[in-house]
Amino acid sequence: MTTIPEQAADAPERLVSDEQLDAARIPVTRVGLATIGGGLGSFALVDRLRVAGVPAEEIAVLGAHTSPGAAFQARCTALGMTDDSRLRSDATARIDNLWGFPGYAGGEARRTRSLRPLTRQLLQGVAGEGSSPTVATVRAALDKEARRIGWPLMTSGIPADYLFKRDAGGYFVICRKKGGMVAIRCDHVHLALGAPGPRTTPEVAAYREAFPGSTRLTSAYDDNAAVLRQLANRGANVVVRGAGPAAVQLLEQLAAGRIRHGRDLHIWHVVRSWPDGSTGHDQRLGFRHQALDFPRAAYTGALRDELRRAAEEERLDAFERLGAPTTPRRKAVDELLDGARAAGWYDAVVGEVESFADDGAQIATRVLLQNGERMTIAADHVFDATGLETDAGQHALVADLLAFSPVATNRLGGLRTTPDWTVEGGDSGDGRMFASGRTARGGHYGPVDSFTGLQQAALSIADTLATAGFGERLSPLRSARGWLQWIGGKSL
Amino acid sequence: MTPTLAGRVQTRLALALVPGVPVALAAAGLLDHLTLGRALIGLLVITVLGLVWDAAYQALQDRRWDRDWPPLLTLLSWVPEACASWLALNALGSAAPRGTHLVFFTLLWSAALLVRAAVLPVLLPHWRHEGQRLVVARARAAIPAPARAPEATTTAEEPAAEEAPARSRGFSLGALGLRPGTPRFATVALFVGVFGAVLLLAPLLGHDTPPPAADPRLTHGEEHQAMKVERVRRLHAWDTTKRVLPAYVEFPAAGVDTRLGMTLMKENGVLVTPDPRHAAWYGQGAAPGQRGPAVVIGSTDAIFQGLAHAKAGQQLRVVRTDGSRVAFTVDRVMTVDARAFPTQEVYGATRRPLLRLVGYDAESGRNTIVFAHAAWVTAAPMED
Ligand SMILES: Cc1cc2nc3c(=O)[nH]c(=O)nc-3n(C[C@H](O)[C@H](O)[C@H](O)COP(=O)(O)OP(=O)(O)OC[C@H]3O[C@@H](n4cnc5c(N)ncnc54)[C@H](O)[C@@H]3O)c2cc1C
Repeated sequence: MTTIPEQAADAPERLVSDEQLDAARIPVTRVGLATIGGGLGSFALVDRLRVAGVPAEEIAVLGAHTSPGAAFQARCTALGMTDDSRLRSDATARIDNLWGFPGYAGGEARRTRSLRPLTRQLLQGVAGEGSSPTVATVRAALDKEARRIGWPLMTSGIPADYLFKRDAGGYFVICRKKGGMVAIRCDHVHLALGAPGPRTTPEVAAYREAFPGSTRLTSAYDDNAAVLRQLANRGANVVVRGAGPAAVQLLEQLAAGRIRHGRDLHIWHVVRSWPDGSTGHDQRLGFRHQALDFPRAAYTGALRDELRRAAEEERLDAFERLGAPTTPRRKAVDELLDGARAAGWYDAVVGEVESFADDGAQIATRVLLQNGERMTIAADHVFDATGLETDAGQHALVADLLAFSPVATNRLGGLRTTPDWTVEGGDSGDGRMFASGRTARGGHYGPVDSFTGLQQAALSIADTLATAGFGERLSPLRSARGWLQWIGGKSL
Repeated sequence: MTPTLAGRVQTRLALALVPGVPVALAAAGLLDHLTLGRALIGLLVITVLGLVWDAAYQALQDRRWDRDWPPLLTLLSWVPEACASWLALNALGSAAPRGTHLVFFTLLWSAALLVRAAVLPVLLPHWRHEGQRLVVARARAAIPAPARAPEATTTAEEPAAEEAPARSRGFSLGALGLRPGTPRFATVALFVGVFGAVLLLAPLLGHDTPPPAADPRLTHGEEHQAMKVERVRRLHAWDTTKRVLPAYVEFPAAGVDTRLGMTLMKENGVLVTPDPRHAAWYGQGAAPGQRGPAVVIGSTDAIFQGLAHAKAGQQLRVVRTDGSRVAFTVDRVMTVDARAFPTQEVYGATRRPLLRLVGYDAESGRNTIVFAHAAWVTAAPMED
């Protein structure tokens, strides 16, 4: 367990002093904890701290958005999910409720005056599709809780540019405001930056470089509404690449457009491999089905413990294997794709994409098929649904940190962290640097990018902070009081 | 949320204390055929068996491909746990009637379920994330500050070296082979097995203690143990259809040790003892140890004076003319006015072998009635 990468071991670490900032005339604000990101990861931690009584003035949230759900909501909208679309996670994984009780299902049952959400939850894992909340439910509950804990008081709506270690302990977070730079001096810092953007595979990067002006290839996370409408209106040949939930979302939208406009829209669905049952997954039509991103035992069960204990290489291999793209099984999707295939407007192609190229009017996708042959699909549009970028180093702030401090990334692209979510090499005096969410990918926990994972990280980080003298541990009494306040909607 | 074995065991033990004990106390007060002692023994047996079930559930869970335990299975656990605990208690001879046991079990079970669903998450937010463990693994708290200076690397390496065996473990989801959880699972299963075996077999270890003498002044503990010895040995040989006439009744706690005469009912429906110095058995009804209620009467002025001290849970014995002994456990004691005599409760037909001691006080017209059920029988002739 070496924590110091070779290149940084000999180079002196960059430390910044109060005098330096003074000389540069950068105004400094002082807080106990700064969390950089301001998304759900930041929210989970701040919620936990506020519940245990940390005053809002002690916390600074640095992020581009003023609402914690903004980035999450933007991705959902980009995928074409509406307010009523169901998310993937369980009713008990509740980002706005630290305790997970009551879950989303109870509220939905009350609102819709039906027992179905509850029976679905009861039968989860045995029959049916389980009970997951809708986008609107999650957003509304999140906004309510954000107001309750005084989120607007803590966030400024400006992103962070740099994170410096302070020579006398603690950190400086440097942000650019309209008038110039400002610094936030904090004892401890938390990074939850989420994904830097859609993943750009080498084939996509090469295509973008060769055809810079082309709009024929978009990511599933781009705003595709106009393109989808246009394609459905005219009728077209479309390639969808990927076998995750984003791909399913696109397929559903394309099918809906086809039905609405009655034009011939042909879908070529390119998947890397055709599941052969060897993984033990439930599977159909090229998709591996699994309720959540990881097998459930990786969230709180025995698999979590085992992964935590495992050696790094083995752990990362397991994360890659267990976290490979899967989709939750939905009957409606099965029926849709079955029907489409029977009607002849949906074809699945199994193989690796080798290249994309524009040939004047269309975009050509060259696929190396599983049987070794090559196939070229000429299409009007390609949707790349290979997921989000995993390399935290793509964030400018992280790249800077990697270059000037002993902080390092692991093979999966996250910062190297310890089992208690501190960033290795991130300490500054008594100050601790923490990471959660995708920023901690490849750490000691598999499903970092999930409500459960974010909350688990928040609980652990807050305990470590309490040991370091910031905030309190969540004793049973304090926890119960916090819960009563949550139930009563009492503002903190 | 997916539990772990450690979590299951810790949660089960904690729930046996709260809400287990208070619920058991309340149930003993509410349910007719459930004495306090039996409720607590029931709770103990249910909990110990529950630990075995936990090990079994976890083994099953580890064989599911995602190693999860869906909520429905938690609900279904009622069936094996309720049935097995009744069988076990029955084998131990301290079972309440089946219906009573099921109600008792269901009370305990739903209280535990409620606490797991709504109380534990609120009091211990870590609980659901830690595989339902109440005690968070020390590894987490003990992780030292991440090593910064090279000289700190050695300290940081120590825990890694300790965990070295973990590296050879695989994560295969489908395979049934040895997995990382197995050694610990085996340890706990072993512990539970040994613990359970000791608990079940402990009475047999007392084999060498002399069989109970006819002396009613035995200390309670010894008597109890001796009874268990015979109970285990003799349980199978009990024919409740056989009618063997009773000879003596011994009720140490009430100071009763008397020969039994036989009495028949008078035309006016009144039972009297032919001899106030002895108790008498109502010969038109069931014999003690035979299916149905056997009724023994005596005067509370004389032979049944001590009946006022009788309490639920106490033991009494009837020695039969063939030398066999039937032991009874007191269910409840009741004092009524003779005019309000609960005829149906005393004489009403049943399929189980029961015993009723009826003490009468000619002056006040009060009846003291001891309701008891047969716990075990031994065919061995008395040694002394
Ligand atoms: C479509 C979709 C559906 C999902 N559904 C579920 C689900 O049902 N259940 C579940 O458990 N999980 C789900 N997830 C996964 C996960 O819960 C979310 O991705 C969650 O938003 C992750 O939180 P985060 O804080 O890591 O990132 P985000 O919420 O994305 O927040 C990161 C924030 O950091 C900001 N940022 C980046 N760089 C800087 C900088 N330099 N300075 C300041 N701020 C910066 C970004 O602007 C962003 O606001 C879903 C994810 C997606 C994309």
